[in-house]
Amino acid sequence: MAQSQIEDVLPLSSLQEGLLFHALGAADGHDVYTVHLSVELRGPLDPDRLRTAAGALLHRHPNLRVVFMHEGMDQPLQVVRRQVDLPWREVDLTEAPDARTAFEELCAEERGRRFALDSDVLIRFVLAEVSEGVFRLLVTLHHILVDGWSVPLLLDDLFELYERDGDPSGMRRVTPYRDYLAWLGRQDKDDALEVWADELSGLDGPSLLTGPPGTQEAEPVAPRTHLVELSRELTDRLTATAQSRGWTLNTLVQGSWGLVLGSLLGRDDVVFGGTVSGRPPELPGIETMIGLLINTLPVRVSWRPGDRLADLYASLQTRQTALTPHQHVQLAEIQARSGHGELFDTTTIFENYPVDADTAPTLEGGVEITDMDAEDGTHYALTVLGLPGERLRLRIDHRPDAVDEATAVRIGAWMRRVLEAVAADPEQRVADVTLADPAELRRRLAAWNDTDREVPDTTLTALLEEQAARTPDAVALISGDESLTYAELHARANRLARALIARGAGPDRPVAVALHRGTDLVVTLLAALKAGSPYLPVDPELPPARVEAMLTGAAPACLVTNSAGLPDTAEVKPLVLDDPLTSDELAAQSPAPLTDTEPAGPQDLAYIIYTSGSTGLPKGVGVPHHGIVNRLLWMQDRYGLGPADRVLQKTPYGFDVSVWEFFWPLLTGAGLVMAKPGGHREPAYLAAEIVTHGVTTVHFVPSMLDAFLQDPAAAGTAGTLRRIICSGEALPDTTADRAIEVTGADVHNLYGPTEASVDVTHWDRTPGEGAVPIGRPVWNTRLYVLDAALRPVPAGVSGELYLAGAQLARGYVGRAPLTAERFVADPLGGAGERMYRTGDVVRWRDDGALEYLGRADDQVKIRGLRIELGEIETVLARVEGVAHARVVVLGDARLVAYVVPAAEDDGLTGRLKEAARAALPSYMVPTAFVTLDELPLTPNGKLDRRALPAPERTGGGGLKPRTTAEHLLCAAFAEVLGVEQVAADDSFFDLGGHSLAAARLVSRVHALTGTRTTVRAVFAAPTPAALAEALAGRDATAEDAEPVLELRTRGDVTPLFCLPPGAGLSWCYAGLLGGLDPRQPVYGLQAPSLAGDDAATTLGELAAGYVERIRGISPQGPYRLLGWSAGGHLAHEVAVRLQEHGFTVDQLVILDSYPLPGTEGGGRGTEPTLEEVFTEVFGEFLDPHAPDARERALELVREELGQFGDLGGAPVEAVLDTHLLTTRAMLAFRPRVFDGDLVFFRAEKTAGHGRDHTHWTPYVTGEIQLHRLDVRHDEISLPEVMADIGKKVVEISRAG
Amino acid sequence: MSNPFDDNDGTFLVLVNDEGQHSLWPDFAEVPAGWEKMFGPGPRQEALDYIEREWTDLRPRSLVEAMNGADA
Repeated sequence: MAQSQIEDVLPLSSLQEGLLFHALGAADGHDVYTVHLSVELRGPLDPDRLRTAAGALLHRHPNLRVVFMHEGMDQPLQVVRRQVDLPWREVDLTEAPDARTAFEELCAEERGRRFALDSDVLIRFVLAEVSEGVFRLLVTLHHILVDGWSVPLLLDDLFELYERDGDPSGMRRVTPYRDYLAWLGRQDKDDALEVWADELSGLDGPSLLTGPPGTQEAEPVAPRTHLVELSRELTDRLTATAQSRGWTLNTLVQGSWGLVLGSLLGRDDVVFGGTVSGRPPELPGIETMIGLLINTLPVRVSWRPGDRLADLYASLQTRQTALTPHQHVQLAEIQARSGHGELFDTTTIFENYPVDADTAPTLEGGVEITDMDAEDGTHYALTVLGLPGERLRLRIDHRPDAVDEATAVRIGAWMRRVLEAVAADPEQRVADVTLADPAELRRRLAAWNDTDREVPDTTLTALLEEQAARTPDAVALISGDESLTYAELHARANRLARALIARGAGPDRPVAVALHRGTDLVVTLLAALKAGSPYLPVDPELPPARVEAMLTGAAPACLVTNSAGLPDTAEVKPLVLDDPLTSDELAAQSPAPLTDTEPAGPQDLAYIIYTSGSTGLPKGVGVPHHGIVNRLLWMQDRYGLGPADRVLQKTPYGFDVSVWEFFWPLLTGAGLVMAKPGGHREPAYLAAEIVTHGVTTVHFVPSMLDAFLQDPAAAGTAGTLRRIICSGEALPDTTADRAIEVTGADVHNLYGPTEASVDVTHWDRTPGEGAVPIGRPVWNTRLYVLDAALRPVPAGVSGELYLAGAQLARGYVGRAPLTAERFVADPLGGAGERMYRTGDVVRWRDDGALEYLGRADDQVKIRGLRIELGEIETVLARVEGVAHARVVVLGDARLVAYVVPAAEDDGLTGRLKEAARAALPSYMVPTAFVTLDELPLTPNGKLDRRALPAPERTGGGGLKPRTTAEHLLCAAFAEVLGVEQVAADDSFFDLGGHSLAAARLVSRVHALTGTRTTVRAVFAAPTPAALAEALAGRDATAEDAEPVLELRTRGDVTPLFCLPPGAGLSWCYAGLLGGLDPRQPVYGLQAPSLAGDDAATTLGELAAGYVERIRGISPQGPYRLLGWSAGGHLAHEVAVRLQEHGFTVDQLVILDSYPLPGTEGGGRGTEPTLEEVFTEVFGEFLDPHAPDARERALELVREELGQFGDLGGAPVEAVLDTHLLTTRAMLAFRPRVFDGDLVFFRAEKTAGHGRDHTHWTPYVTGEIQLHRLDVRHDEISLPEVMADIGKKVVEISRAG
Repeated sequence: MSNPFDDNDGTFLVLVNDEGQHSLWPDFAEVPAGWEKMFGPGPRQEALDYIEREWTDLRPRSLVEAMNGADA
């Protein structure tokens, strides 16, 4: 651009900078900031004159002639050009067959043409004559030039210039945009940002209608529109109200939108965008300036339900007025300061433009402006536009991909309601303003909660005894080898009940129970009920301080335990079941039903179950008989157990899911199967129990169900298992569907708190139907979803869940204030009824099913266990030397404590761990303790979770793994824990492992080695070294010898199949994982004879079997094969056979195996002698006919396996036999010819006579690539050597 | 969403029903049928203190009466 062409060079306003940044960021496609105006003109228009006027318009306003420069500059600049060519086009559509379509195409074309901000004239005109005497003027311009306020000014100017034939003399003076830029330069931006930070302090978070940030960073689209027109009368009343109180109509619209948005989001502190003219009144002529001045800034509206409407609007008006001088800063900078990121996705605009929109001017010569449309895109989900006039109109512009038509219509109706309310009575409370139609809401609520059902007024005890009388000889209980009939179970319980009554048991006098899972536990619970007492579970695994708190709180009449479960307490005198004195006492009691004692009534408590309490003390929920009776009879009606059904009892009895596990079968004549203590964590054990005992019904917390389904044993339960009941945490649809697929059972999702008798909602899963809701209410139960003003919210709106009806607990034992806080008056039910507030955030679906969304407070669930973080924090804060303590849940459901010490304190972490273990159940003890100098806070003073450092999870600093077994286990630990490295003496649990991760570790160890271990073993031996030792001590069985080790199953690189060496075991190949591409699946095949299948005796037969297995995993190939020692021969033969079948073999890798040299055709093709076999196997002479030959051979095999750290994998006998069988087969075999290249690794230290790669030459058509390894033949199995081989193989694959 | 029952700065009532069960209740909301105001309006902690003092037996009144009747 020549100097003379440049009229002026100006900086950009911050808003222009923002737009420039946006425009450059989205370099392709439709530019959302293209503004499109269309004006209809009727009459004798003179196109040339209009063109002259347009040229004069550009001349009059320098800032319509700018281009934007940014490349190679610190700050972008706008350059005003002295002269530009007017972009003007005339189109005649009068002859077009379809003028309307032709015009729309023209518009679309104009809209789609992007501006080049650094070279184009950023405004262009098209005049289209659409029919005789009817014109459409299209003005397309970039938003960076002008704002919406300027548009009418611009058109006004254009038409005035038309009337003046393009001569501006005598027109009002133009205030240049540069005056504004100069003013802007004088403003104190930092000060303004400070003011905005204050305005937003304490904000809970962004107010996003369309979900978390990022989702609405979608392509900008043209909005849809829904128009709400208020009556003239309402408009007058609103105007009068606003005037009398000193509010603007804009404030009315914004405050009302705040309330509506709050209702939509279920919040009472919201923020959204407010568009301001951005025209500082102190600048003369600013009101007629054409340029970009408009700004969108946060508007915050917050209230409490008790506030009056007038308070809300008045406060908003005051704050907005105070913010006016600070409206010149960029939103992006305000958001960056706020610490919340994107604050909102909805905005409001009030169009008080300087021109009256209702009266269109008429031009000279009778040209009428008959229609005017302005259109621009938006990236906001929704904009509420206030259009003043005799009738106030609200236009709801919404992105169709974010807000659907029905929602927009509902939002319009709600806006109208709020405005009606404030016009009617500004002094009414926010809580009294109902948005959705209350009558309609109540009607729907009543229909969804129509659950009335006649339930007998009885007790759990009576139901159990009635069943025992009906089926005395049926099997009631199976526990290990023991089994009891109904009659036997009740007889034992009757004896014990009498002993309990003798110790003071009776209605409302609890019996504490501290027993491990087993027959005695069931007998004792039943006995407590028979004595009229509520039972109080006191799990023997709980720390003493917790037990003490429970016993003090519930004051039981007695405590039933045994020598293994005996808690250390002076609180109650225990009744020890395995004490001989107790046996004598019980033997002396009558086994007959109790008839002469005071029975419990329906209102008496059946049990007391303790849950985590936020103030540092656990709280005991007392559940009366009528509640649990309702729940159990509903369950029987719904799912119908029959006499042939068996229910697995695996939930620890301190959690209320166990209540139905125990009693549902026992009141229906079905059988109760007790899992062994600790067995609930072992997927393989559970599967075996289900199959062995014919269990039809089982409960799973979804995360445990996942772990169960991951175990191959789960598939074995198909045909046995009929129903899986899930509860405790959100049930992912994928988990539900997989459970149905794997087990063939029905899956039911239940939800409920202990405070409402286990479960209050239910849902039957149909595969493939989308997210799993928590469903509909059980019998005699009402669900309310209420907002902060305790009003029901309509479907689709989130709110807090309250429960009412038959299943409500009595309250928290001994905690009246806490009870009165949570069990509160029910405003929607019958007179005097209560409702329980759950703290769960939910929303109704349109069909009346509930969807679970999250928590309203700090309660969390980890693996289905309810935890108040506040309880843990309180325990930690009490430790000496602690200034602050916060606990958070990180990624993989790990509890991590962040602690600020009062002073430097080396021993603090140890004391914290100790204190947590002493006071909290193990699942509530944080897995990591991180000390910080101070807690990171957000600008709002809340804990800044993102700034919390992740706890150290990198183990590996300690003991190096010594054996192959330790190597393998270290790798498995690291993989499951998601850490880089694990040392042999790192504890699984110190690195963040938990019981579910332990279940995954068990599966992984099995996959890598074929060896079965258990979660219990991991708990007992939590380091790789200890676990390796523990596993070595056990005798391997044939079942351990899996046919295929799935070393790595995931990845999109062609899989590698490894053939076993002579011993038949393939886990030496696990070492390859350290070097191979992590995206390559790797399988280790193992000899069938290890598991007792010795049908294949020749190398050909063995290879045929492997081909079949390989094709079972990858039916079509291509294939990559690798083998060490005898495995090399097998790999070669497998490759040949795959090629015979017509498949591609990509890669054949042989590790130090050699065909016999010299003889024609390579192999000898004859049966070797036993001496030869032994020599080949053991590398030394061993007389096979000596009397101790087998003993000595076994000894040698043991030694060889010892190299693997004794992990076992298969019985030693089987390994020896496999070794002999493979070797004999190998010696007898004559290799055939493989069509392709061979990658060969030679162990240099043992190479030489009779061991040369060239021996393979006759058996491959391609090249032999030799790689030398500076090791002995047997050292190839070492993990580090295998890893090197893996790396080399990757290089070779890349090069090939 | 802040729950109105957890609002430490809110104004509260204490309500009681025929069973003698107590309920904390935010002052802004209408008192539901079948409940009677026993305390308030007042600060939250005072309401809770009132409950701690006055509600000493969590059993519903009808149960207590039935049990006393049985004892008699």
